[in-house]
Amino acid sequence: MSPIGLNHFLGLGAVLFCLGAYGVLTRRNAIAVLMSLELMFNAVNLNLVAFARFLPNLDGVVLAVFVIAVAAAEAAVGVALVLSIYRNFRHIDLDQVDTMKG
Amino acid sequence: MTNALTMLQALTPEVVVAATAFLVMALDLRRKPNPRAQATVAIFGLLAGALATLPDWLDTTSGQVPVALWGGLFLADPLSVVFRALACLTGVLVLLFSIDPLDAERRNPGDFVTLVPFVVLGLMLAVSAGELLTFFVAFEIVSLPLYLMAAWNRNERASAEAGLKYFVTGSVSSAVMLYGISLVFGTMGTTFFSQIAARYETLTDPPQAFVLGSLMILAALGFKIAAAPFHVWAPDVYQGAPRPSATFLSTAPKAAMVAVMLRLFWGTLALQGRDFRLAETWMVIFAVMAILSMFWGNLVALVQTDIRRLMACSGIAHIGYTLLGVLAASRAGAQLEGAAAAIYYVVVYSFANLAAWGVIVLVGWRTGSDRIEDYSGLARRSPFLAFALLISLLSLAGAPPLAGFLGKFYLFRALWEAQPAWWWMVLIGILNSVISLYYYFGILKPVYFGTPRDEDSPLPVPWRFRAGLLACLAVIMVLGLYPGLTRMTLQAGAAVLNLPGAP
Amino acid sequence: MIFDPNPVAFWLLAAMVTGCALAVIRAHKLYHAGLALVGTLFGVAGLYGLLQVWFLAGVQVLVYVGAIVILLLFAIMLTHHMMTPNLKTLSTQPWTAAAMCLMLLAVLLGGILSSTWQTAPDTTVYPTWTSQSGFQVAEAIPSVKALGFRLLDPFTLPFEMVSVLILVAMIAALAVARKPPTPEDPAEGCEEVVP
Repeated sequence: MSPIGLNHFLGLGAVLFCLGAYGVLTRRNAIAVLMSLELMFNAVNLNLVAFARFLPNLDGVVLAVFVIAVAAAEAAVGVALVLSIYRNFRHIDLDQVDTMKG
Repeated sequence: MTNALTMLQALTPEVVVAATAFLVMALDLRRKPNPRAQATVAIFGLLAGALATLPDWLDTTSGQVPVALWGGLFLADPLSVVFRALACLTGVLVLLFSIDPLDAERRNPGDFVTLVPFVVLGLMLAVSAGELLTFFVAFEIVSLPLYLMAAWNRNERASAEAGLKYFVTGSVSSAVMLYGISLVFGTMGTTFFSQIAARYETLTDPPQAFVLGSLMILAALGFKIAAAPFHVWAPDVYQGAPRPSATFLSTAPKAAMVAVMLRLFWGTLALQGRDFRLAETWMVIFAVMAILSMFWGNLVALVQTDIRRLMACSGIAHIGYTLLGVLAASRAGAQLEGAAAAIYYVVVYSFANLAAWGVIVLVGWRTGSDRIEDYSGLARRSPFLAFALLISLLSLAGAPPLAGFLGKFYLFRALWEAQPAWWWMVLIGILNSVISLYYYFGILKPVYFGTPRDEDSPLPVPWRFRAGLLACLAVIMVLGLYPGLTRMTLQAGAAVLNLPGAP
Repeated sequence: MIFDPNPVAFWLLAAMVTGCALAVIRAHKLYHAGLALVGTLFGVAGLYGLLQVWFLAGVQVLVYVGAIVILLLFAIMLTHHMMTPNLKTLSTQPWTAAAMCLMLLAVLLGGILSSTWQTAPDTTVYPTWTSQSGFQVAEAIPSVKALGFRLLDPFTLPFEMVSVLILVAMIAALAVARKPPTPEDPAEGCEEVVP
């Protein structure tokens, strides 16, 4: 088998990022959208860590630590918003959470 | 290594604002919290923060700044001084306009007042950041509370919907920005603006992934400032969010993002002052964004009946005008003019927009309606509110002698000088200003010539609104009549582009 | 010695990550999507391990699997009957979205493959770098010690900012997720989150 290089990790990151983007675009359920967002953040981290190891540059790991912290805060905010939607609409189906037209 | 005193001096405004934020938070923990008192503390703290930037304003004339801390991670330069002061003042005005309605309707006023200074802190750090990740974290401090402020009315469907829409678009743009940052990091080996610039000079050709990463960062910034084609979320969010929150999120992040765009694209990623390999590409991209934003914003605003949606559309159009300045900043010889015009315009836009939203908050709170037809006869119900709306909308429309006119004039002149071959862009800008007059007068006509629905019931204006609106009007008129800030913004422009000081 | 990750392990983990990610975005039961997300996150942690960044692999498991996924599972439980069959979870236009995402993927892969990265040939010799305050730090990349120095030397400010970020996220999230005051009892401060 051919040796594994930086591009393999970056390619996997790109695939993961696009899968996450697809999930955000197509999922109707708000929590599923949150999960897809986590996939996108993980793709970024995979990139950063691969760079950290192959460039090599320690800063990649530092950046990844920050990204994880930010993702955690985003998830907490997202869950609060989902609960707020559920309380008002009694469901979290995004196709029906579209009342404003102008 | 910078010594501790320099560090402390450069960070004074942030320290003051952070201390205010924690003090206000502590006040919220008392057994019987008093949100109005907390708001007063926060207002004075933020004013102190704005005052604390004063030494830096003075130092810009004596050449003491820019100061770079932690190897360029934090920059206290003229650009950040202008926008740090603006962030503090925006926070003050938002507090003045929000505390009365929130407290009267019992919508968590204490938490709202606590979050405002934190958001201001995030804005100040975002405009001073000299490193991509620092900027990102600072901007998340701004974004996360704003997502939830949009959903602040807990038992209102539209508000929850606005919050979730804002969150999903905002988070996707954050992820896109992070991916872009990771690509820039991979190609340049660093995320510090100064080091990216230095590394770039050693390359013969910019790597594909670097351009791709910069584009992703630009797209994410476009989402955050609601520039076309990344604007679709804005009208829904502004309409659904509670009015005080909409006031905040339609002003503060936009101004800060314009500062960051100037710093990032003409200082770092496009590397403008050094060579022009990428400048042409960026100019075309910015031109497309500007034209789309202006036309979409102004044309869609024409058919709106809800004043909040109208303000959202007009905000998109104004970002389009501002991008003309960012674009003009890309040509040798016009960088200073372009950057200064963009900065001047976005400062003026902030105050005019805040004044208009102040009126919208008060009228919406008293009448419970945002339909433009319900504004009819406002001049008879409250001459002061009608006058405030008149001045702010005329400034947004660009009528002389108000600051908005001067702002547009500077923008078009900068664009003309930067790229005379693109004279048609100036024409498009003027055409759009004319279109915008139509819908701004569409609001002002019922206000002055309509009859009130319920016969002439006067609309009392609480002192906080009166003070805030008077301050905004004073700024709009003073900046229009005495454009003394222009010299300051010229220096700010110089700082962005690392040029010698302005004349 | 050239740093050379084990190809078999890489392809296995890559298959696990992609497969689980596909399940996250396509599963018809939300609960299954949550479990697949755990799989993806473990797979990514495994990749960090393959890259010998053990510290981050640990953080990934602790924060993502331990905190974020649990939070999401709680949200699922609060808003759903966990095992409801036939949950409509996909939008009506998956093909347009798929086309857009494939285009994005092509652009990203094109950019990645045609770029030159500033890689050093020998990546097991870790760089010695001097911190701004003059410390000589010669540590392996996975070393937590080097990471700590780096976090506290130039990255002091963002490190502190993250704590502010988490604080504001908490304050704001609680303010919105709390039960709204009822007309009879307008007092604030109900602990109950469940509607």
